[in-house]
Amino acid sequence: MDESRSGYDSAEPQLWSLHPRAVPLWRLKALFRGTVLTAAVLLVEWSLDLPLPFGLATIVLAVLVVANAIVTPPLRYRAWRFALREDDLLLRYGVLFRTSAIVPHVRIQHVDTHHGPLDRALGLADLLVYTAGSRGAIMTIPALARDDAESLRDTLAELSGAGDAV
Amino acid sequence: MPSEAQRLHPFGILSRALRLVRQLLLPAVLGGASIGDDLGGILFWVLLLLAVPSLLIGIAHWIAFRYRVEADDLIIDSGVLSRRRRVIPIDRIQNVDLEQSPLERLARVAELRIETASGGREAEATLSVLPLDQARAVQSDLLARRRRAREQAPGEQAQEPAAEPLLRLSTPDLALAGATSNEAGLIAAGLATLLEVAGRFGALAGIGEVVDDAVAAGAGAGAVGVVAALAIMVLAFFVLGWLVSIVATVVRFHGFTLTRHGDDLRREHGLFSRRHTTVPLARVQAVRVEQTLPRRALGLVALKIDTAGAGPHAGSGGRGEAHIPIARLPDLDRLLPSILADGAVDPRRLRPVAPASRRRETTRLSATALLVAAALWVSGIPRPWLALLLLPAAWLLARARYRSRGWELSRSHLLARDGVLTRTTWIVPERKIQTLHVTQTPFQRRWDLATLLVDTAAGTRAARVIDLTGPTAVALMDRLADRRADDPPHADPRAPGDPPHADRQAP
Repeated sequence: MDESRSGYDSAEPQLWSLHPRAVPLWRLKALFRGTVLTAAVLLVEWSLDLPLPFGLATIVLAVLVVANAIVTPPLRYRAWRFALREDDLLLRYGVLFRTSAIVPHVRIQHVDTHHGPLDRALGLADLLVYTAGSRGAIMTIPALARDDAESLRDTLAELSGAGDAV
Repeated sequence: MPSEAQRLHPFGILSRALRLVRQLLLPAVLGGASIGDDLGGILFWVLLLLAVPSLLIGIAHWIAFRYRVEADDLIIDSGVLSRRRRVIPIDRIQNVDLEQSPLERLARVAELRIETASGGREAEATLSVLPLDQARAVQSDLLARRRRAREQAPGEQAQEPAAEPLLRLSTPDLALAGATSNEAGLIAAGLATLLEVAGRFGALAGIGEVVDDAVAAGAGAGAVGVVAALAIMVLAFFVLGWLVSIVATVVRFHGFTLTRHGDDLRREHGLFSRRHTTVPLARVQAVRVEQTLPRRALGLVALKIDTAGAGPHAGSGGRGEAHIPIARLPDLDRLLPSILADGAVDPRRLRPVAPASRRRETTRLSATALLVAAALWVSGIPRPWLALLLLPAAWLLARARYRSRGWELSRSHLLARDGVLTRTTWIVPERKIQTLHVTQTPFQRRWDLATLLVDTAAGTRAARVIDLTGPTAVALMDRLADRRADDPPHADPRAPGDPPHADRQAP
């Protein structure tokens, strides 16, 4: 990961990655979304009986959907890092738009794990961290191994500041 | 304060019924208007159909409503069909606001709104209404009990702390506030819409007809005449909007006073509806110093104090927002230390952001200008090269954007400034920071710039320092996170390698 220019590379003791199965998970999700989109476009074209150039555009769209599903997930996976530090939770993510975020433990209101059917099939779960903030009040660490997500959830819940007044 | 259950003043029945009618009137009239178009007749039947049940509901609620103040709790029994008892622990009370509509002022009664930190849009409990004296007594009783409960020092007598006046605004001050706000355009658009609706009902000429008339009047002088007629009309709307903005500000904030009572800020204002707002200073999430262009020229500012509570002063974001409509720049020296408990906060002296910010904006805006010019060229209008005049405009805007940005760390606050038309300086207490984010767009990465976003529980927006250098942004984020973690120790706030203070500039 080329972070030499970003200034993000302050030596952190322990940066964790997501579970490697995040890549197939995101690929499947991207394919699913792309298929729905392409199908919707096809349906509109078919019902309006549009001429040939539109059909070609749909083929381009389908190619883009597949390319996106193949290329983007590994990049996103490689960009994602997080660390549980003494006083806060550190998150780094984003391929084009890079973000690095800090959630102080005392600011955590509650913590959830969430897994949809696809996550469950792959043994993964998302971790959701809620704060009382306005923008970015909910922070998500996606695609963790289910055990990891649950133990991290319990750790954060324990660390979170009880009764921290707004 | 008697501890037996109390009834409200029966005037509340009328208040409640009126409020209900007011809330339902517009949808009911619009609904009626979709059936027929006799506006007067619809209005009469709607009012009749709304007024009688509203009054009956009001009476039933008045009979069912009782409140009492106990040692640690405010207890309210209410509910006609399903009875409900609400117990509000007094130490959880955030604000107690006293409010009077014009009618309530005539009747010498007032409404009390009690807020806790729960995030809803409505006040936690509303006592509507009490005789004015009693409302004042209950308000100060609740506030005094809350103070006692929080100090947790039994035996210590809680007395009303001395009031320290902070700001008093005269009618000319408020007229100036209305005149320098940039709401005229908004109001002008609203007026045009209103005129159009009135035109639909045949009450007045619709906006379309007005435009047609104006165009017809100007047509005698050819194309120039039409343009002139339209320009005059737009100008007329703006002047009207401007006057409305002045009058609205004077009416809303008439007799504005701001005082500090111990740990609370109290605001009082309003010509017809009088409002008394209490803002506990410990609940202030952020203070925003706002300057429109005319205010910047005249050395004036407006202040917005964000709290996390709900209630009558809740802004559009649903969270609390208390305005100070106008103040002079030197007033900040008195106001800010009192509100923030930090004497080192000075929004006039900020550090500039990274100089690359100006280069980034210049590149970005020049590219946009060139794209527009190219599009005009392709579209084949006469003299397309005139579009190149957009370039210097882009450079000026880039410079203005760069200069509008600034930041500073005071003893316990982060200051962040941005905005060309309305320049906003956020002042965020470090203790109120919820989360911190450093973001980089691909273009920012090219210049090694980054944006620091500081989130609090205030409003829907977060404070942003746009275009720090990447390392400065990360260092500042880490510093703020550290300070949050180990409260008071105030280390030297300057990051190593930052520009020296001589680089500071006035806003």
